Amino acid sequence: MNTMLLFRRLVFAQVLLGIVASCMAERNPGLLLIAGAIGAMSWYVTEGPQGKTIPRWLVNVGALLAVAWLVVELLTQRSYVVAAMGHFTMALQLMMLYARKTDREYSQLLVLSLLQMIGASVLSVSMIYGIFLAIYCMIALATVLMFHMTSAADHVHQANIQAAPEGKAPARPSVWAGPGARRHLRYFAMVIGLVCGLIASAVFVTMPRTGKSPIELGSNQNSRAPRQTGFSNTIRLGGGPIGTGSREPMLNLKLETYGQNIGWEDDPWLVRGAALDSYNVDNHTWYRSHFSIASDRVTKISTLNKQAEEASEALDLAGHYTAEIALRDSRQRAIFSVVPIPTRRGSQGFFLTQFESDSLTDVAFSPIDHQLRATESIVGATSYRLSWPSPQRWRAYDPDADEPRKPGVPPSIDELSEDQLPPSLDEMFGTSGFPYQGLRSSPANNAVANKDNYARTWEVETERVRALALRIIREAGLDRDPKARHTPDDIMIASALAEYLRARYSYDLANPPARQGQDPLIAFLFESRRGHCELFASGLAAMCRSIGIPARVITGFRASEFNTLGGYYVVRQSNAHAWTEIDCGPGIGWRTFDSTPPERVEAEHSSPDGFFASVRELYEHIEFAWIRSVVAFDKQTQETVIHEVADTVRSSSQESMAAIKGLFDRMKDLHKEMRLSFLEIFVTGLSLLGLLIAVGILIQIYFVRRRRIARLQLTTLPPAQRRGLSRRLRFYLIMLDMLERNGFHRPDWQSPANFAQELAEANPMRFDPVVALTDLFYEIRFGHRPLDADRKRRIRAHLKQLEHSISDTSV
Amino acid sequence: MASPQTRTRLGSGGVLYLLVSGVILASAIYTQANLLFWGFGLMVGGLIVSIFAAAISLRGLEVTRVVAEHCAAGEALPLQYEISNRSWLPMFAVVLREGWGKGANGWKTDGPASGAGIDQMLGGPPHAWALHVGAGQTTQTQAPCRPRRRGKLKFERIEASSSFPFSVLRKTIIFDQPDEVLVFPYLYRVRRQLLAHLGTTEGEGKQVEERPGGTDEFFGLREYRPGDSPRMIDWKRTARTGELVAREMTMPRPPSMSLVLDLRETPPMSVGSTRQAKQGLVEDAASGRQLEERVVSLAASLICDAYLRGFRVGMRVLGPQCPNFAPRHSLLHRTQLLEALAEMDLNHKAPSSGGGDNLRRSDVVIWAGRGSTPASSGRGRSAGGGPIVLGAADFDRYVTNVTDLADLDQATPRNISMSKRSEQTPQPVAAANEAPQGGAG
Repeated sequence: MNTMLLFRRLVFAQVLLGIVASCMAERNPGLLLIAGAIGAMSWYVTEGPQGKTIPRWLVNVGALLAVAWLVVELLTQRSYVVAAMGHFTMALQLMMLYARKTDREYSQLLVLSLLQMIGASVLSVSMIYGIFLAIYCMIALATVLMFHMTSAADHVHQANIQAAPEGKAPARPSVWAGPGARRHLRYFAMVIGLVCGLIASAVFVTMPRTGKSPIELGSNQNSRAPRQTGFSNTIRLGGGPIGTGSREPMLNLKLETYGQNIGWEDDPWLVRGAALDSYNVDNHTWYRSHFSIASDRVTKISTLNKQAEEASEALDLAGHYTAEIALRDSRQRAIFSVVPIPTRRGSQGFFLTQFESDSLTDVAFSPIDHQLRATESIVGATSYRLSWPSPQRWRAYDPDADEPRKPGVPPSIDELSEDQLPPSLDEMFGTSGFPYQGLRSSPANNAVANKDNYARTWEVETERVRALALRIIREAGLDRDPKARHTPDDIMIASALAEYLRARYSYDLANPPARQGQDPLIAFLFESRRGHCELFASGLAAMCRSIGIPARVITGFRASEFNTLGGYYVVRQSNAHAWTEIDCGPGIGWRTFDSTPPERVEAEHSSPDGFFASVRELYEHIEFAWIRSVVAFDKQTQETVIHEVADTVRSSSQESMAAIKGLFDRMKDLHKEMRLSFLEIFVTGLSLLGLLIAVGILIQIYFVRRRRIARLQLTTLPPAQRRGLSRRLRFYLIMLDMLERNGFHRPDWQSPANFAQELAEANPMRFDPVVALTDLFYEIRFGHRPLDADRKRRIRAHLKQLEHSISDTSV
Repeated sequence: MASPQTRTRLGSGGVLYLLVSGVILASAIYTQANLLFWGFGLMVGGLIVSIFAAAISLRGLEVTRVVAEHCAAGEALPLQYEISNRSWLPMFAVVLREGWGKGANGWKTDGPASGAGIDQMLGGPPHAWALHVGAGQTTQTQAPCRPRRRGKLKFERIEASSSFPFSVLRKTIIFDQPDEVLVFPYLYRVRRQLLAHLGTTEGEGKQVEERPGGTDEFFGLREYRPGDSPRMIDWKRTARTGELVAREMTMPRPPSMSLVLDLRETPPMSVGSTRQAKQGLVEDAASGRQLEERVVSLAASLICDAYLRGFRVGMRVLGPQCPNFAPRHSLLHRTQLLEALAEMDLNHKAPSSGGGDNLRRSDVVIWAGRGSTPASSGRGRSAGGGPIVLGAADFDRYVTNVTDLADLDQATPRNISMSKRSEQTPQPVAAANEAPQGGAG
């Protein structure tokens, strides 16, 4: 077999696959096109009819340029170091593909390719990359095996060249391979691959994880990458039309209640992301106020869960919902939670009872907006679980009724105790460690400096908006004093306002631009009456605030696409959504209202049907399984897997031991159970003995046949052919045995013809039958002649003659 | 046969493998990327497979060296190995290497591959390689081997090693197999006319050898043997005796050549012909040992050429201990002459003995100095009729493939001290008794 050519092909395939996988991990199709084309062309240039390579000095110059480009990329463009290193190794590999390669260059090329794959493994969480990685590993195994072969030959060749006199360099050693070399090597490679795969899986499962990574997994952090559409921590109104966003999955949401998976296509949920309670008039942006930020309390998850558990017990919560959120590729600090789609009168806000995560140890929790935030960015693929109480049936607020406050509701701002609120800004600025010292001069901060004004003021054309709001609620038969803190009708008012927007305004992603100097929200409310979900949510919040009802805008996703294969919701970038949370007063708390017309949103978020959609669903399910089981394999999953394996092994061993013991006991009492007579025992024993002898004979036949095939050197033939030939050529082995008994041994390397000729030359008369039998051997072995009666007769005669002549030393 | 020694150590790629594994582990721990944990697991798997492979590989391996008894210096020695795999597992990438001395690098201090210059018979240990030896199979491989100088080439052991599959661990099995090959001196192509001038013409075609076997003159009668030509049957005698009687004829005396290698001293002279010196092919001088080796090589070349042309060749050596050979012509005789030349130890020279050193007119003296030019008609003699003297310093005048001289000189570096020492010694007997005629000076 041509080991060198095969090795060169494998190296080429491995390097090219590494480059393609790296480009895919980086999500850079341009680089994939260029690098892939340059790499693919190298085979034609170096191995084609011309077979030219670039000189070594050019490779060195190229390497220096690659180093310079690496420095430039790191310093000026501030690219991610892993991606920059990937570009660097890719450039080196491409140059080396065009250069003349010895074993040294080949080993460098393989190491560079491996380093590139290490970087790509950090960059990508995609299943496609995982498939590429698996193929790469298989090719790498074959390449390393072939490299071992060729480098051993080269080593021998070099040693012989050094030993040879000048000008008498020996030729490269020929490939001395016995029969079946390729087949044996293939088997070895398969066994090695299997063993390595099993050990790799064991190491993967048992290797301890810290869960903390300074590297942002699954993210190339390229500053030049386009800003992702969809979920954002701020909302900037205006800015013209927006796109529908990509259909790339953002996260998967699995819902359970009482251990049962829930969810279906017609039951959408809202995935709550950021609560934005402050509106900047100048840049028309909703953001999270510093008052809320200051209320964040960083605590350990265990402490948080302990507090939540105590609260749950105190509130006598009925039932739990559990959501497992698997982020595919995130760069957010927001921890998403789940709330049901609001009904006409809104829905219960999110109330955390338990949170579990392996990648996080500390979280910041604000009792004001009930928002969980990670202390550091959650990057790449990860998963976490959170629980909340089952929704409580809302009852009309009646101040006279002495009903207890329903548990599991985010409390109103007025219900928060002083220790749950942040200190005043003056106190905070007085603290040396306060991180927002630069905010002192900001006039907007005074407006939310205390809980009295939290999410309650609207400063853009307040009177006009208030007039609109009052007109709407009065049309609904309601009224409200804007100076009142809370009224029993607040929930009805909020419902009326949301209903008004849903009914009278139209959903439009075109988002008509406002006039110069005009606030986009005012333009939406009074002129265009068309817009997207952010404008609807902002409009409802603005109208509520204008009449004194605290309201805030929530951004997140609307989960409506249910994967029936996996039993989870697939949330895509295009499912980004915004809605409103309104403080309906003590006892009711914050409730969720969605003023966006639901029909249009559903139409916008609906998933396509058909065959390709099914295929896509299947692929996404497999990818989700990949992410859950491989990419986001965390400490808890590790412990679960280890415990499951340990339990299985323990139970299996116990069952096996019990079964063996039972069998032993039964065997002991068998004679009692069967009550056999002596004759029956004798017959049974005889039968068993016969069976054993038959099995032994069969085993012996198998091994004898195998040995015969090996002696006749038929191992490389197909099984059926070698079985037949071993039977027909048995006479030749009898002849060899006969000769061996008389001291004539045929070495394995000697052909039958040579052996016969050698014997015939030594004593023609004595070994004439050997020549005749060897001729018959060749006729049957290579001439495919049948072992007919005539040949059998001749074989018998020759063997008899040989037996006679070989024992007669006088001949 | 003693059981072979086994040794396992880190292979050539072992360090690189461990380094890459370390990089992957560090990357996995630093980034907590699960794919890198899996990749590290693969590397661990490879390491475990390597350890297991090192434990079971080369079991049941048998290696036998197949080598000729003789070879010539500078020519390829067919060094073959028969590799048998008696185990149930195939073997891959088996490297065979000759070993000498202690340890893996013993060949650098002991054995024919050690030393430098004249002491070094081989440039390094010969290596052979077999890609695959199947279970229960026997295969052959060979190692290129080109001895650099004459003498006994001794083999001690064969080191079979394999670092399959990842070059992480190299397992070596050492088979002690002493063996010996006698390396003849360098053999050159002698100029066509030289041998005609050197062979003695005395009695050629006139005297007959008192031995049967030829077709020249009647020698005698003997009984008929199967295979004798019917023409040789003496029918008269046969009729008289009643048994078949055949005639035997004599054979003519073949040309003869008596070589005398005068290696008692090395002359204090520069080496390399004037022409070579002018052309810059040689430098100012070669060592005395080089000249002596040239003497031996020239003698061996003449012996081989003379054998091919049917000459009877005799040989005497003055100086080093070596048996004297009467002129004969046979393959066995030629081999014996070459063996004597191959085993000759130039470092141990016997003191000059007056009687044995006497030269005859028919002798061809080869020595380390300048030689005489043989006359175009028969043996060139001076007025006094002395032997022909061939000088190793004029080597290129006697052989045609003189470019190969570099090989000989590479193996025999200058030994200036020996040359200088020889300046103080008297001229050799041949030069003293008979002034070389037409010496190149």
